[in-house]
Amino acid sequence: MAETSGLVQKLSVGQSFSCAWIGPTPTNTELLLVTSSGSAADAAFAGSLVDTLSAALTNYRAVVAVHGDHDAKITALRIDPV
Amino acid sequence: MAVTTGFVQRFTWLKGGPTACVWVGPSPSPAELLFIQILPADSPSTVAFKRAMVGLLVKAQVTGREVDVGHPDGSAEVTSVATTSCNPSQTPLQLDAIEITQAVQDLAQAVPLIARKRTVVRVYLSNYASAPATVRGELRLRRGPSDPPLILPSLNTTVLDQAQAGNPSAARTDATRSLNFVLPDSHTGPGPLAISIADVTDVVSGNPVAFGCDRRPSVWFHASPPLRVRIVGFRYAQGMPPVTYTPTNLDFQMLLSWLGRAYPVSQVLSSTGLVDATAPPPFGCGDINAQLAALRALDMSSGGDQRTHYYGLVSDGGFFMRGCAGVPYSTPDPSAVGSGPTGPGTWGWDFDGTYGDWYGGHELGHTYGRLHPGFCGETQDDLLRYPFAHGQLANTDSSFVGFDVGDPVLNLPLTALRGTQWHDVMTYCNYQWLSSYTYQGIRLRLLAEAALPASTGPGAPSPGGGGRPDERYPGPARIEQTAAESAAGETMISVVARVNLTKRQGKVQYVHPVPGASISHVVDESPVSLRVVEQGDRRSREYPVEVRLNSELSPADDREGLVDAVVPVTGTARAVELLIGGDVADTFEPAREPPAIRALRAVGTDADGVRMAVESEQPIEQSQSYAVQVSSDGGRSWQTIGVGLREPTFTLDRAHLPEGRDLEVRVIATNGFTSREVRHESLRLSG
Repeated sequence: MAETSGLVQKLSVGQSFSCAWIGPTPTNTELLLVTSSGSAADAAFAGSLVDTLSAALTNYRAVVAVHGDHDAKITALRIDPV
Repeated sequence: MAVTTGFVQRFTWLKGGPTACVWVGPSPSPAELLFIQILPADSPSTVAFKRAMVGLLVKAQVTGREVDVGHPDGSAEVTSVATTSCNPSQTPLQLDAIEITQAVQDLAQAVPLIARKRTVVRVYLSNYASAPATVRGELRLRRGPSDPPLILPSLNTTVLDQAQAGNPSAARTDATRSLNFVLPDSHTGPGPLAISIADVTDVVSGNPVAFGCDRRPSVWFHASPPLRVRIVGFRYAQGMPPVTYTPTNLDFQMLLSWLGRAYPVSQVLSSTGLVDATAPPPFGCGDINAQLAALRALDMSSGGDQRTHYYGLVSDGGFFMRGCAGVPYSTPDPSAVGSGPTGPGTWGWDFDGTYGDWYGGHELGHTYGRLHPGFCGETQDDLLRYPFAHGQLANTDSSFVGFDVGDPVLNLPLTALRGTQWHDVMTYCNYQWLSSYTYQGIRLRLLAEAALPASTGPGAPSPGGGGRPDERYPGPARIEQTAAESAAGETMISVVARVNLTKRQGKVQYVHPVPGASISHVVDESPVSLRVVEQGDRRSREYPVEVRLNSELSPADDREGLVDAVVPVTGTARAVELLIGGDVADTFEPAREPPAIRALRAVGTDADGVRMAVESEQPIEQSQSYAVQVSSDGGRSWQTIGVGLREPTFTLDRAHLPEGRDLEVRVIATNGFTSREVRHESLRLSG
């Protein structure tokens, strides 16, 4: 698993997936995705991930997003203490 | 598919549906009404998606972020929400953040803003163009949707360099790297304030510069009580020939300024005074605090505001007196006093000409219930887990940063205080300021103290100074005698004593009648009691009293502290005993009735002030002393400028008394239980 850390520079919430641009500056970001398989549990998890990302974005809090080595789907999200 | 771009101006949740209505636009009017409706047929996945969109819209509204809201061309139903792109390749100048700070803050605006407190808006910009740019800016301020905006220019210009782009954390640690705006008083009153950037201008060309990633935060200013404090300088003479040492005017000014800048208050209601230390040098802070407590008790029985904190300043010219204070940890109690040293020492980091400011901030912090968090050699008394490593203001530069909003009167500039370099004022570390933790703690204590009554009891004059006109009409100098006795024949007396619980030793330092005062600091259980001993076989009365331990004790130190209580005595009382662990540690026996005082005269003036002399029928005896009080409000309230005096002369210091106003001066001779008084009216100090 890989980790991408930094501020959430941009967040886009869409019907099939949401996009988060994460990195130290607006010009140095990695695009990661929040997707859902459609099950109730997975949908709730995806919604919570987006809520967390939007809270981090608006409050200038850095996040650590966990995703596969070769894919951009966020599987875990962490906000460490500052 | 259409996209509406703008700021979320208004948001409403309606039960029908349920439906979220959101108004998006560049300003409250015009704004486009869009909606998100959760339908009974929606799958869990769709419900989660819609809730996530609502969540982002709400956060965008409260933090002033611009959004792109997608919806079909012919419909207002939202299908996507995104924060707008910050695209430096299109617009090289980008807005990184806006911070509204008063003393300490983070970018999430976690520290509440105090109404009417000097407030600085810091705007962080990044320049992604290869050529550096120097810019200035203007803010647009509104207090409500229909409020005409106020345009406010920045105090400074700032140089924006590509190498520093996209790093607001670094910019926050340097006041010159943000555009800074001091908000006018008209826009810091209780309530909301909407902030946006009106324009950014290139200083060289004079042309406006387009910027991207706009943010328009709204903040709320909270009403907060003032800080009420009396700062008393202590004068002492030392050496042979004796050299007199007093705190300088700068020491007083800088301490009061520092409290106004660093503490969570908009106003410091203050007064200052200068008194002679009764203890011989080199005295300790326990001696000064005892004298200060006696001064305060007399002031409070003479119309003083009970919420006023007292702090003693001692010049380090003759010797260094380590500071200390009482700590009313669990209950608000403004009667806790503190004192500390002052002088021009830099301590290696403080170059503003005096260190009495932050040192006083530390000791006064104790009197607001603050404990040591346990850093840089201090004992950890605060067990609530101070939130930042090493006593710092923050763990990283991306969270809390201190900010000194400066003082134009004292020529102090705006200064950013890096959170990983500066430390909380309650530590023993260098680089002292208030952390968000202490700032919030003092704010809560101030609110609790504001709920306390201003006056002491039935004997205290009303703040408005009412009463029969003939009794208030200022008459010629007169001589009075007071017995300070209540109708029941009881006299309230203030007893100030120093105690050492470890050695079971103690000394009654000051005893004064305090007319109108209420019993205070008498508790259910205590190792220390005051016993009022009656004449003959009448039964004595014992009052367990609170002991305020010295704030700066380490585990190895004796448990030393102060007793500062008010207890009743009858006309047949012959002594007050100080009991520690049931044993008598000291006994105060009043002398005979104090001598009648014939007159109080001004006997000379010099650069420092007016020299006054007391004429009494006979010299005072052991256990008798004088106290001196001054009133500048026609006798409604009095401030004590001398206590425990054994000599019948004293000086009214020009620097600490109002010029050009009529002053009344009174001298109280006391044996502890009874007193006699003389008053001199209509003295005026000129500049």
